[in-house]
Parts: sequence; structure tokens; C-alpha cells
Amino acid sequence: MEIDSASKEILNRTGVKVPNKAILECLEKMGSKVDYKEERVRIPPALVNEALEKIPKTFKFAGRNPKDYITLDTERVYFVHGIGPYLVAPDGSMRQPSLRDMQDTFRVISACRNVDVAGIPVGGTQSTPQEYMDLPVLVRRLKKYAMMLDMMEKPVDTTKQFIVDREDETGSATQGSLDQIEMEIAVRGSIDELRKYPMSLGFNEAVSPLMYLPRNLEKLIVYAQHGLPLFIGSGPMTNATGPATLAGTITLWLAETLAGLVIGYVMGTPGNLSPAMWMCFTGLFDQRSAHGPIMGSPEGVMVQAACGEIAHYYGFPFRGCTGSPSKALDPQTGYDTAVCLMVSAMAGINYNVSIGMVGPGEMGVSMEKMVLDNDLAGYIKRVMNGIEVTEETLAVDVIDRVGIGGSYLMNAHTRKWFRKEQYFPSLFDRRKYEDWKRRGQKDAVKRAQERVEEILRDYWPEPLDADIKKRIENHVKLVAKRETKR
Amino acid sequence: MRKEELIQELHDAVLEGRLEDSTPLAEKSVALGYDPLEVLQGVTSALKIVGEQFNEGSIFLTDLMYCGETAKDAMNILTEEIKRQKKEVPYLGRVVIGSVEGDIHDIGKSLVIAMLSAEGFEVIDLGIDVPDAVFVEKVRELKPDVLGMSALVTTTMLKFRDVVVALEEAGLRNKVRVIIGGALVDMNYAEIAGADTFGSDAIDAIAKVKALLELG
Repeated sequence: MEIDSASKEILNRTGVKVPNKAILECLEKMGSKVDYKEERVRIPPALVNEALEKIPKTFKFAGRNPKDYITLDTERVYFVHGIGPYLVAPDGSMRQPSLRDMQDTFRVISACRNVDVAGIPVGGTQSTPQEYMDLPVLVRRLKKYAMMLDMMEKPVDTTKQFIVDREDETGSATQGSLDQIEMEIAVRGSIDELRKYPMSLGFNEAVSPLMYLPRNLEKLIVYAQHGLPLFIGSGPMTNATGPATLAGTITLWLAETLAGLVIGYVMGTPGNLSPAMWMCFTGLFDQRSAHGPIMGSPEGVMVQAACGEIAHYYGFPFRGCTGSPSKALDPQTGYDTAVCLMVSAMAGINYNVSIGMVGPGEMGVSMEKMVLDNDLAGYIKRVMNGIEVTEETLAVDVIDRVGIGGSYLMNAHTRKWFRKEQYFPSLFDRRKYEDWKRRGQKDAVKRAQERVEEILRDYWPEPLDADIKKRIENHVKLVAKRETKR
Repeated sequence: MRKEELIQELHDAVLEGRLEDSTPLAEKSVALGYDPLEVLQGVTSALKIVGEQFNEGSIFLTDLMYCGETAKDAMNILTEEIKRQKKEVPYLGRVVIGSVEGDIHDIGKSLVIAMLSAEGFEVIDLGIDVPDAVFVEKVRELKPDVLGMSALVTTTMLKFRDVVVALEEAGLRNKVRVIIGGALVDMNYAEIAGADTFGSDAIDAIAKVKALLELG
């Protein structure tokens, strides 16, 4: 594999920036060349190969209840609620979400049965609800997570907590990650149970080209030391933070990802090594509109599909991220989302972050798009399930019995099979023209708006177990007390 | 080489972003004693076309940056000569620019600089992670028409505000227009920070700078 050896050459020749002394010392001990002044490390292929072999490649990921888990491996395909700081209306106008908006978003995503994982509601850490702003940063983050657990049965993706936002710099990524993990231990009952059914992943993205950031590394160390899953990779933008050539961007991505893998490996505890999922969020840096990343583009989705294949070649599950650079709920948003998600799924990308996301560069989240994407996800899942061919499904006897010119509608075979074979979208319209007209000639966006209204009127997630709720509250109180003292 | 020929050649070099031709041609024009202001005119007229081509989408970002660099190399030599002859360089205006805190990629700011230079502004880049006091000092020393600041989200507001307050305290705020930019900066941020305006992206920033200076 040419990309494999090219990436290993980059790690050995150019190296990566790792601004963390403990990690550099560990890497040096394991045979890497370290320049402490430049915080630069050159990693030999032998160490990369060792990490590739030793790091576990499959793990479970669960919500507040361990029975609601998904399995991350190279086979299964999941759809994940996207992130973005703003709440976007169907016409493309946006606003900063309130606590109520976040809770509404969670209710909508909870009601979307084809969506497997919930992301941080309406956005990353930029969008802390106004109601929490007077609290210390670490308490804010924890309270937000507690709110998510309170409202969501699905696994909750908190990957970007503590690392993305400048505001988080006043808090500590190490302490924040520890607080979060301790809360998860309180929910599960023990660290062993949490390791069996992890609730969050130690996100460590490289900043292209070839840089790691202090806060990401802090978070990674905490997760590696606890033997909890790691989430490694990068998203070089073609033309700007990566080469213009797609192969070059993929090579750079692999070098950055392998560096993250090696760091997770050397900082882990033998016997309890963290499993890892790989990710790529590459998009174009568009030469015409002069910005990026444009993930909803043929190039973006091709690069991600290729990176997924590479991750699978080594045996790791893979996370991709697509969206549309269009701002409103218009045909372009639909085309971009549908094409990119379908290509991603067909390429076997396991963890697809996209649901509900609107606008370039994870601009925001739309509740109406969530319910539309839910239909799309069901559509794609149906395609992925393929066509079952058995003696019974070939239906030779049934065809013989119905004979020439008959009908299959009133038939035991039809009755038995149609629910399995046909996917039933809830919003995509298939009615006859007159029927559609009689029902008010509503287009997809209008139907989505009505569906959102209906969910917010009638639907509430299952309440959180009272005992677990109490444990979460106690932990938040403890951290709040500690932080107020400081 | 005749003067008209040389000017045309340099004009074309800028249009095509031929980096390697720019310095030799500009040096040649000085050596031959041609009027540097007239030669500079050839460079800026090419840049104007480049800007139009980018806006209409017939050339792309990398092309634009090459054209900008080609022009910059020639302009450095020509402005040196203009100053030596004790004449005035016909810039559209002077812009001092810097990031208030460690912007990781620096792409946004580089774009703004490339495009401002391409438009004919004199741009002085203070780099990244620039302390408040340095902004104030440079505004005092260089007397720019516009101060541009960029930064990432959330605490940016405070940092922008700090610099603006420092400018006020130094009695310089009314001597310079302030424009801010960055990932999530908007007019609301600009008002809170006490800036005159904001640029939502590089192209917008250039338009806003021109509007601030009332240039068509």
C-alpha cells in the first residue's frame, strides 16, 4: 500500500508537533527522535506498526443505560446527530440557542428512530446556554452533560467538550475530562463496567498540517489512562491545510492519525489499552469562495470514503462527517446530504456525523432537517440491508399460485414479507396528486415543521432512572462545591 | 526594452502570477531610469483586473495569492525607488493588521492581507498573538488609516475591547478606524468591542475597509 508507506515516511522524516513533555518523553523512550525545543517528534515505522497491532479495534458505546449500546467495528453503519453552534430556521436565519432550545433539540433527536447517536445539542461548547453562564466553566460543561443524560436514551457524543472553545481555556481539559469520567463511573457503578460500556470517547484531533494541541493531548491522556475509547484523526482541508491533491491529503491525514494512535498507545496502560475509532472530517478549502471546510462536496466525501477504507484495512472503525454548505433547507441541502451520506454508507463508514447539520463548517443545526434526515437515514439503512435471496423470497411457488394476470396484494406471502421488505418513510411524500392537494399541498419543509411541532407538543423521552439521576446530581454538586472554593 | 514594453510585461507577469519575473522586471525598470510611479501604475492596473476576475469566479484563490505576491515583490522595489526620489507612493490607504491571540491556522488573516495588497493598500502585518500594547504602539508609530484585528471566538470580544480601550486611553481611537474579523465575529461583537465594523470573510473585509475609507 503506497499511502501506508508514504505516511510512515512523513512521520519518520517530517514528524509531528506534540506540545506535551510527558508524551514526548514516553515517545523518546520507545525509540522516537524528539526535539524538545520544537516540541517535535519523529516516529519510526516500527513503533507505528506496534501500535497498529496492539490497540484494540472494537468497542461498545452506550448511553445512560448500558443496554442501549451500539457496537463500533468495521462492519456496522450508524447515523449520528451533528453539531453546530446555532439553531437554524428553514429559511437559513440563525440564532444562539437557549437552554429550552437545546432541550427541544434533544426531544426531536430522541424521537428520530433512525438516528443512533445524539450529538451535543445544537452545537459545541460555544453555545453554552445563557442560564449556565454564571457558573464556573467546568461546572457549566458538566451540567450540560447531565442535562443531556437526563433527556436522552441514545448514546451521547460529547467529543468536543473541553477542547474546542477558547472559553474552555479557563477550565482545565484534564480536570474536566476527569470530572466527566467520574460522573460516568457514578452512572455505571464502576470503572470496569464503564470500560465495558463506555459513555464517551477521548477526542484527539490533529490540527493540520501535523500539529497536536495541548488540550486535546490532555484529554487523550486521561482517556488512555482509564482505558476508555479514543477518537483519533484529523481533517486537512484540500488546498489550504492539506495538499490540493486528494491522495496527498489522504496521506497527510493518515500520518496525523497514526501519530494520534501511537500517542494513545504509549500513554495507555498495558492490559487496559484503550480501543480506538479513527475519523476524518476533510472537506475542500474552496478556491472560489475562499473558505472551508466544504465537507458536502464530491472531493470531501471521496477523501473520507478512502480514509474509511484505510482505517478498515488496519481493522479500525471509522467516523466520517458530512454536511451541506447550503444555508437554507433547500434542494441543495437535500442533494448534498443524500449523496454524501449514501456514498459514506456504501463505503462502509461506520459512524456518520451529519444528521440535522446545516451550513458550511458545522454552522448550525436545524430541527426540521433532523426529522427529514431521519427519513433519509432510514432510506439508506434500507438500501444497506440489501436484497435477501432465499427459496422463500424467490417466491417461485407463490408466483405459480397467483399465475398469469393475478394480484399479489391479498396474499399470505405478501402479508408476511412486505413490512420487512418495504421501508416506510414518515415525511417523504408518496401520495397521489389529488390526495396531496387535498391535504394542503405541503412541501417537505412544511411537513417537517409540522412534525417538529408535533414532537414538541406530544413527545417526551423516557425519564431517567431516579437513582442514577440522584448520583449524577450529587456528582455535579461535588464539582460545583470544589470549583466555587477555588 | 522600451518603457511601454516593460510596463506591459510587468503588467502581464502580475496578471499571470509569474513570481519569478516580477523582481527582475522591476529592478530593470529602476536601472533603466523609468518613472517608478508610471511602472507602479502598470502593476496596480493589473491587480484591479485580478480582483475583478476573482470576484466573477474566472480565477481562483491560489491564482489570486500568486498574483498578489508577484505584485508585492515588484511594488517593494518600486516604492523603494519612489521614496528615494522623495515622491509619494499612491496607496489607497495604510492598514495595520494582527491577530489578538494565537490563531492556529492564520489562513483568514493571510487572505485578508493578500486581498488588501492586491487592491492597492499598504498592509503592515504584526503577526499573531499580538499584545494590546503593541497594537497601540504601532498605531501611534505608523498612523494607519485602518487597524484590523482577528481572533477566534468567545474571548475575542474581550480582547478586541481591551485593545480599543487601550487606544482610547492613548488618545488614538479617533485617529484610526477599527475592523475586526474571525470565525464567529459579527456586528454585535463589533459593537460590544467598540470597533467600527467587522468582516465576515476576506472578501467582505476588503469591501468594509473600502467603505470605511469611503473609497468606491
